[in-house]
Amino acid sequence: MDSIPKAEILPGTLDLMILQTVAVLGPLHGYAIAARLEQVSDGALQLNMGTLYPGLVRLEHQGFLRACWDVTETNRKARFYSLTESGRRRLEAERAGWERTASIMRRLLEELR
Amino acid sequence: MNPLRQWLHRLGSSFRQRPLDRSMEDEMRFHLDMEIEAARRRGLSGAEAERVARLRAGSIAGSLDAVRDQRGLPWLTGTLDDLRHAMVSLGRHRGFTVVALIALTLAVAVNALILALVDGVLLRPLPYPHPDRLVRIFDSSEQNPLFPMSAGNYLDYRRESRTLESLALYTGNDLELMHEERPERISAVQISPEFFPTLGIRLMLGRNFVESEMRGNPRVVILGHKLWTTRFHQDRHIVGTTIRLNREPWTVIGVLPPGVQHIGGTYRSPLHGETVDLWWPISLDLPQNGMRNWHFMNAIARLRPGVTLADANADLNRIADDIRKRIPGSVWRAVIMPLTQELVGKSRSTVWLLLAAGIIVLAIACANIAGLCIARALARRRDLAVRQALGAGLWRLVRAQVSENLLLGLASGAAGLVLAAALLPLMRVLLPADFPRLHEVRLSLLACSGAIGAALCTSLLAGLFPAFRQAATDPLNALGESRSTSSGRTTSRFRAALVCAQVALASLLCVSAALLLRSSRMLTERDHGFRPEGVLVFDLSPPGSAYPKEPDRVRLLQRAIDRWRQLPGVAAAAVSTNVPWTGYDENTSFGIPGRPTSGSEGPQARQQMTTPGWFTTLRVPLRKGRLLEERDNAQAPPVIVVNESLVSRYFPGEEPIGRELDLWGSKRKIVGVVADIADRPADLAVEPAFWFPAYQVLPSRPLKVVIRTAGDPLVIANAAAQALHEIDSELPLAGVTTLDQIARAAFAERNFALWLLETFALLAMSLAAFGIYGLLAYTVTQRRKEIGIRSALGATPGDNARMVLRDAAVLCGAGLGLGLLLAPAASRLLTGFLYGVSPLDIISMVAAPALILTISLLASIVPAWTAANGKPLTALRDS
Repeated sequence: MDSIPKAEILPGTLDLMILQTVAVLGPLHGYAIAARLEQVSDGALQLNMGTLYPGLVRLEHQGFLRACWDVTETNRKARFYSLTESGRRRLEAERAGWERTASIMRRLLEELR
Repeated sequence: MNPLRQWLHRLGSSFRQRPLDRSMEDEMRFHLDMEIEAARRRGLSGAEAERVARLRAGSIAGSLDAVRDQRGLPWLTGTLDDLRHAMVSLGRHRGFTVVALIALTLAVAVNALILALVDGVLLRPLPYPHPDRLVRIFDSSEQNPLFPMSAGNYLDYRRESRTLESLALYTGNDLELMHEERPERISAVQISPEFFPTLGIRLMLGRNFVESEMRGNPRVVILGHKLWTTRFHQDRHIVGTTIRLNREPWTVIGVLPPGVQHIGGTYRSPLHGETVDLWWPISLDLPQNGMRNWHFMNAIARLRPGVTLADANADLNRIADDIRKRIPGSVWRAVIMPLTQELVGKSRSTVWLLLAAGIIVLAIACANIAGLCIARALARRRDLAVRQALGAGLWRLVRAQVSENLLLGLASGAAGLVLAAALLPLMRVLLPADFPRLHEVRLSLLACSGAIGAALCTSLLAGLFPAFRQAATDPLNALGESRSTSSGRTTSRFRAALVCAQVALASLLCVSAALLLRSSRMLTERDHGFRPEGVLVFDLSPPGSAYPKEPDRVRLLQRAIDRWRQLPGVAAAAVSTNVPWTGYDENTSFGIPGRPTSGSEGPQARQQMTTPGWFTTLRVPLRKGRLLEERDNAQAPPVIVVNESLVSRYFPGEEPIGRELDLWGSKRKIVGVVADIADRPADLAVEPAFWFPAYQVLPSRPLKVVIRTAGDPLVIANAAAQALHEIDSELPLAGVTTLDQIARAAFAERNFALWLLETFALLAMSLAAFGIYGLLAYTVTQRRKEIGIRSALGATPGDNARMVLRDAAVLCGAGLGLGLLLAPAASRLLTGFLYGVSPLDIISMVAAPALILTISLLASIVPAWTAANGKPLTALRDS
């Protein structure tokens, strides 16, 4: 597992990743978000708590996420994050922005080849 | 995204740091636990699983820090931190905190009270629309610079003036109300119809007076809102009905809205404020000579918009010049004065005096706290230097000091306001009831914000100097300095200068207080010309309708006085037109047979009527001839008693007894000369005066009864009232008081100023003494090494103590020198308050500084003792 090359988190993409994960999988606690990102990236993305939780707090302050304490399937207390209405709008906007950037990058890089 | 909402969120979380931290910590612990479980599932053992989990997820403490940065508002959190540190620091330096708090709290309370006074009396506009256009107009001559207006002049000014929007007359004249079978004297004012429009007051019910009601005595009256409420239960149908006044039916034609403030006036007028209950028309049905010669009405006018006082003055004096040409014997010019000025009058200087004293106290408190702050900054020099060396910026250091002082300022500001609020009722009691606009004095927004602002400015100013000084020093120096080396020469010089300034300011206040105190002594020890103790005073106003003829009134007085004399404990009783020091000021001109009047104005004197026994009741000494006696009645030859001033003014070096005065068309023989009674309590002036025997001359006007008793005069008030009601059950007994109370009230404003100034002086002195103590105590600690060496070289404890005392004497001497240089200027401002004492009074100028010097030396005893008893070896070892 240690041999897998680590991916850097591009500035500005953390919010999008968190919002998207929560939007797809519904209310999630912090660990589940981190685990899901790791799984999706085949272990390339490892978010530590010092990156993840400040992001969650920021999104909560901005009103995109809502959080409440609940119990997991294993009957443990955890804080679950879910998307608010303005979070959903934000996600759409961020996704559109990202897709535009990505397509520009793709075209630019193909040209160079 | 909503920035405001986000900001509010952050603001909210700034104040919930701890619970939020705990919640986040729980969340992270859960996260970590899940990581550990995942590692275990991958087959790792307990300790190893934990290590890997920590590696992957990071530490809780570090992550919490990162989260905290996301939360809250950094500058606010910083400030809260500063304030928390400040609180801790203030708590640790308890001595400093307590002294600074007390000094500043007292200074704030004092200044809040004085600002309330300044605001209520001088600054707040009068409660009428465009009060700046309201002016009082007086008839003025050489002998009578501010005289009431005659009816004739009023009519001329009103008709011909181009600068006045309106001109109105008013004069106080109480009425007797019979309501539900109970007689009561009601405060009433006679007015001309323009009075309410001039002031901008609209009637709530009914109508205003009309011009024709100034003729023929129509019995019509307008009710004040207070009387309408208390006596007539706000009966809206009262307009058009009749009420019983002065034993006749009067028609109510209107009711005023609530809160109507009478404008007051010094002559025949109730005080400023909601003091009038009934308003009735002034009568212009005067005899021919009365139209121009009777001056008993006050004039108030409203200037046209844009007209200046100078314009109005020129305009009215043009008319006055014309009147003087037309009417033989008229001497009057017009004098105009803003209403506020007339209203506040002499009290203006009292208020300014107190404000100046309050500011001095504040300045002393500021200097004191600055001294304390410097001392403390020096004590913490190393602590601060360490912080500075570790990279704390200038702003950070200044901020720490400023937060402490801000906290101090806020706390003492709040405490000062609470104290002021508690003292305000006391101030109201101490001030005389006739102090202008007293009812408007309250802790207004201006007073509160002014006092809080002063507290903040003072404490910040006191803290900024040491803060910047510290920031400017090189931390290496401060760290390298050993404790005992003399610390910053400029700093101790600055502290010494602060102490000198405190002593100087305190000596100013003390000299002023001493001057006032000596004046008060002179006043109380003065022979007033009468003895106020043990005399009951009340009003008696036999209404003209019930006692139309003079003999009726005389008979009433004779019967009543007979009864009163028989009451147990009564030594003497009399009735007269006035008692001293109540503002009575009725004057008349007279002639001296065989002496033609020279110049335009003839002799004039204060005219009074009194029954026999008045002089003995008040213990006014007889100087020559005889007093008035029972035999001086309508059948006897006309006589009169005069005062010494009249004799010295009009019969200098002559024998007055037996001379005649030409008075109101008949000649009266002077039978006696009595001692002068000071016209006003606080000055020496005595105008010429005479007393008619009331049994010979008794016009229908309000009278004052005086009864001298052996014990407390108020005890017989009920008996006196009952005796009166046995003669006439409808006569109300009003204004019951004692001559002692009247005399005390007359001195109240002076005493109030004196009392406050004494308090301020005491406060200033204590603060200055504390400043000296603080500086010396600090110097002694600083110079322990020096003192140790001196002792080791053979200096005795006495030598060391003397050294400290010499320092104290030098500090105090310099301050006193400065203070005495300024004192003459300050005492000149006091001239108006001084009585029988020169502004450069040598006793005050010596006694006050001597007191300060004594107290300063007392304050330096403890430091001197410390210096004398220091153990030389300990001191040397310490360093």
